[in-house]
Amino acid sequence: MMAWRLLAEGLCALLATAFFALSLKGPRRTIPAAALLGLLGQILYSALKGPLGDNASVFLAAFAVCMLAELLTRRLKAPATVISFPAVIPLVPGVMLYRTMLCFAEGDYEAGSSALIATIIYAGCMAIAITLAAMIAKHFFPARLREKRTENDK
Amino acid sequence: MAEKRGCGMNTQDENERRVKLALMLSAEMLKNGGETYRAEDCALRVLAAAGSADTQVMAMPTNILVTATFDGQTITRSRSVRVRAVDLGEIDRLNTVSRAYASGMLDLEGAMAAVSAASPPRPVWLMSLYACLSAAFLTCIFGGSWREFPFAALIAFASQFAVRCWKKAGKYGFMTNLFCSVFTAVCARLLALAVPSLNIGALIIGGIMPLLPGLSMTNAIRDTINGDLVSGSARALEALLACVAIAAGVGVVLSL
Repeated sequence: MMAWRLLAEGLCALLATAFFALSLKGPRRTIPAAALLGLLGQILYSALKGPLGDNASVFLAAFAVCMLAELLTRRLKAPATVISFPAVIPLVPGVMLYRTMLCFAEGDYEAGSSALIATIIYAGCMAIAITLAAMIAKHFFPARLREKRTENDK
Repeated sequence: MAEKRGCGMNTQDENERRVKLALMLSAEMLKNGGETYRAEDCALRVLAAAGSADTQVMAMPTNILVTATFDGQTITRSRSVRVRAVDLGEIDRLNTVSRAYASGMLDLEGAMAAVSAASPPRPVWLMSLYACLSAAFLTCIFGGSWREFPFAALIAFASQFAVRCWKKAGKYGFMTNLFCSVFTAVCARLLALAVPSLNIGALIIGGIMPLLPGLSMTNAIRDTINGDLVSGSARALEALLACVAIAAGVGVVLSL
């Protein structure tokens, strides 16, 4: 039952990511990669949410997605953002934002503030994971790959 | 790697044009949602390949400043960036152009032409259709079921179509986000009145997902960590304002 639910969510994430990339005029060749990473991120997040909690699981999911996007960058010859940005969209805290708005709209500022802070921490975890992946790629991935690529292109 | 310098009277002109190419590339990069460091890298790469001895680039979300030194003569030019949107295809294309120029595959004229040649506009309805399908699938992830799917798609299509038409008219930002979220929430409430079994929360979440400033938020944190403090705080403010606009729009309708 659990596995089916994960799979269904993953498939939704795959399609959501693919259409999101298309709506931002993403280049055709990067869309399959982005969609698959969207699926992976959603499944990782849902599977880890139980044992690790929201923040740690979104951190790991976003980090895994962006590291893979950085690796694919070399192969697809596209900037990493083009792949990773649509792929992390299913991880954006939509439900938490909505809950925050709902609390404030109903005048329950106490619940609203705690929901707001939870949302900010969650979004911060996500953003730090994305940045960390980019920094690791910049400093530790061999730069020669990039040079070789341009040599081959000539 | 560096292309041959023009000689004689044209050198000055030639250098001006190289700086112009660097400016155009990074300004376009900023316009289409590229990271600040990528915009700066583009200009640095182009000017290094063109033979500038000392290059200084300062990119911000609203403008860009480039200083290059050719044979002891310094050229400084700036360009302001008024419009900002997200276009992944353009980021990819501009990145390729700057690399092609740097590696000598494109000459100055070719690169200039490539930067100015905008990719053909895609039909508004098609882009809205993609965005609305994405929103509908996100609705399914965020607590909706297949019953909400068609309704979420419908609402998102209407609101995305409105945003894109508005963007074409040149006014984009706080007000667009505000009206769009109000529109989404009103549609969701009306549908929920007509079909009481619908999960109104999931409908609204799906509808506002394409509006959320995901890219400027992550770019803000990335810029700040990279040390581009001005861009980082400017983008953070932009993302915050967009969130406030969306929250205010939805909140007003929900509290009615």
